[in-house]
Amino acid sequence: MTLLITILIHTCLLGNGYLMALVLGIKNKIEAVGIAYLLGSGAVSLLFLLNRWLFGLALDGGNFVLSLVMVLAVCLLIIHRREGSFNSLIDGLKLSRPVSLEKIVSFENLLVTMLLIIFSYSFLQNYFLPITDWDSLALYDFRAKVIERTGEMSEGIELGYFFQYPPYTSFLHSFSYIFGIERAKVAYSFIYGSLLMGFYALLKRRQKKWVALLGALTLATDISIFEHSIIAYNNLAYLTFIALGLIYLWFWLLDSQKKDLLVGVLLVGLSTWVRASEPFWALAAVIILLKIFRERKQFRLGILSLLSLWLIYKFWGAYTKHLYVLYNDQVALEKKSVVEKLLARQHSVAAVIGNFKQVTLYFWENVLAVIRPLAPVLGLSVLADLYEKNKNNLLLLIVFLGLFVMIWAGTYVFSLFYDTWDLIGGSLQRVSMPLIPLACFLIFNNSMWNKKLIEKR
Amino acid sequence: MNIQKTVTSFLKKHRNFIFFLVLAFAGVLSTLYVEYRFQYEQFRWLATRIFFASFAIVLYGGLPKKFRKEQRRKVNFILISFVFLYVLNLLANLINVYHLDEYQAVRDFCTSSPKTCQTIVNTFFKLKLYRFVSLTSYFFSYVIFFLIGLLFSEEIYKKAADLLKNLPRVKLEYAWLFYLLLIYLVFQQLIFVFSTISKRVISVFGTLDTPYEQRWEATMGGRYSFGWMWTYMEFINNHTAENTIILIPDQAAPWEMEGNPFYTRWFIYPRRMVQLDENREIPTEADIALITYGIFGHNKEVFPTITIPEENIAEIVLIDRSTLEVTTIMDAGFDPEDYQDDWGFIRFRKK
Repeated sequence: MTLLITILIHTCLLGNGYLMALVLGIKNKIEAVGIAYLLGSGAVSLLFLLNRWLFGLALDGGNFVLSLVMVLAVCLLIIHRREGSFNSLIDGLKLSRPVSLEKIVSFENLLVTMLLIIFSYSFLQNYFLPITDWDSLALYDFRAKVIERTGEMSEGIELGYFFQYPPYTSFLHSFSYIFGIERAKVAYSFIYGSLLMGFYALLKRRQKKWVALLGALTLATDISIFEHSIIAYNNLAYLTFIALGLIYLWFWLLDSQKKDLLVGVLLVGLSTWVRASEPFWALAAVIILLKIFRERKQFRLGILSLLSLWLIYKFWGAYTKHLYVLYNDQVALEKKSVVEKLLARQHSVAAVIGNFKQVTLYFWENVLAVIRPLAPVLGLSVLADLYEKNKNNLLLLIVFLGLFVMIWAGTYVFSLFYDTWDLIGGSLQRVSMPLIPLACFLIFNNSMWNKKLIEKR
Repeated sequence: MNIQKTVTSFLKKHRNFIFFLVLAFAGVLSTLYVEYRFQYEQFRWLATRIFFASFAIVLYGGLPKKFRKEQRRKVNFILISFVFLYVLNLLANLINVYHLDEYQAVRDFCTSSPKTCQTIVNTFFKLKLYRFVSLTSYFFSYVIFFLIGLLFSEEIYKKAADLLKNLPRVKLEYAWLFYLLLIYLVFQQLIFVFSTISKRVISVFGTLDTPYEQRWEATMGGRYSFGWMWTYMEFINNHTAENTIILIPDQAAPWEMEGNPFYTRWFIYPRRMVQLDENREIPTEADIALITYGIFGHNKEVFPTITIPEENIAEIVLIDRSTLEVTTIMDAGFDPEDYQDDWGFIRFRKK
């Protein structure tokens, strides 16, 4: 029964997200399933809190069901209004072709089997073992326990260390706890599955099936990604949203398809609903601004996308501010942002420059620890792209380097405020994890694989 | 002169095959050696061993089709045998063959047929079957993925060659280097992931008999490791009301776990915590104080570190870490010297 309810909760989120993917114009079923859990869980968790804020509903089972129904209703309404019937939806639920049993022992099937074994293991481990991870107990899972008990979050003001990160993963835990299910960790397997499926589907747009599968397997077996598929931290969710979102926006840069912009912006926006401290979302804003001002196409849609990105980014901050005002928490209200602190503090030029070498070495050591296994192959891929003047891939490389620079700058700013800056190696490595899917995409989409590109030339 | 010429031409003609054999044997033999000699250091020469195997896989795909066709059945047979042995090894570890006496069915069998039971035990030790049981998942993963690589190397080789022949500008050697490094990367990651899966499946299986909520202890290394945190805190929860205010140690060695208020709150919520005030005195609002010997650190010390007079104490409740037996001490003061390696709490007398 526990297994059934666990699967039901997450399947509801997945189903809602699948409808959202259809509404956004994703026709490929694997791709739609790949991003379904991300969209569904993101939208439902946002509504879950919005219902609390606007209508005073408790953060409980009723609110969860209402949020699910709201997303479902809006999606069905849009589909019906757009197409006058639900035929496309029914078609979308059908399998496009029967699963062929021919050539069972093929290279592709071997890769699929390995991926299934790895995913199943992640699911079993997350289903059978409880949450024991330090940061999760201190914050993410603890918040879910408070929500389950009180149906709200205001107690967090008194408890302290409660509102530092947006509540996405805590809400995912609560969705299980409010129905009396302890197995909240299963959500991370769904996110892991989404990352792999989404990555596969996006790579498959440009590559042969076996290349895309090999890419997904390389990503699945990356040590950092694999380890995070069985721990209840928010880094896996964050990297899934931000990396897939940026790849969608990269596709939009190349092909100008509306659906890629919409899904990309939504995923990047939702990444700020998982972790708001990293400014990686700004890369998406830069990409959109550059494209709409340079090509003067999809201008209105671009501006609307930017607005929705900004709204999702601001949502958590606005809600916590509302709570601080409501409970008159002056300390929290007077807390300055990093930018304000940076402008207020007078750093001498010598102090600013002094850290440069140390920070760079420290950054290099830790970031390299994350991408070290991929580095030699990535290096050859980039060289091949440069040699072949593969502008498409080089654009993604610029996004990759943008992230790289942002992580370095973040470490540098941190070093200006905290003497303990060189004790955050683990955090720095986790923050650098979005580089992994982008590196894998660059490796498996480089000029040496890209037959279409060669044929075109 | 003639022999030298024949040998040279033979080596030249079969250089890829010889090279493949050398790499394959170097890889498999060094893995066997590591398994035999350094069983607890599976990462020894791992990068080199994986490089041997990856290079051998790449070379094998380029060997004559006829040769590979002849070998296919043999490779298949070895692969199936290895998978079978691996499953046997996994099962032997899952049921923990060294402690079969824990199973009632085994005990019944040995009571009814002691001779057969003894013969099986003797054979197990005589044939040194324990050597097989203790073979690591790294060893099996290495061989299995190497054989799978050989089976599909033709396909991978063909697919790669098919793509690579279209490259007009990037040099072929460069492309082959990329291909080799990629196989190396995937092979390395697969070995790590599948070995980890094997090991963890065994530990997950070991916890299944325990109710879900109690698995925390086993998952975190057991009662004599970090897992004690959950059991100890459950004891606190079971003996205190939800509005209890608990005095916990400062977050310093050896109390890094129970002394961290943001960590400990997960275990005892909705109970609240306080720590010693700036005068190193017990805050008046504290209802109980943990008696802890330090879960995390090695330099053990009893908390509270101060003596508490009898008139301030309503009771001292202790839990035996091994048996979980609970003892209540009334009418006694607290002196840390008397509570070395003890766990429990002091309930303060409220005035």
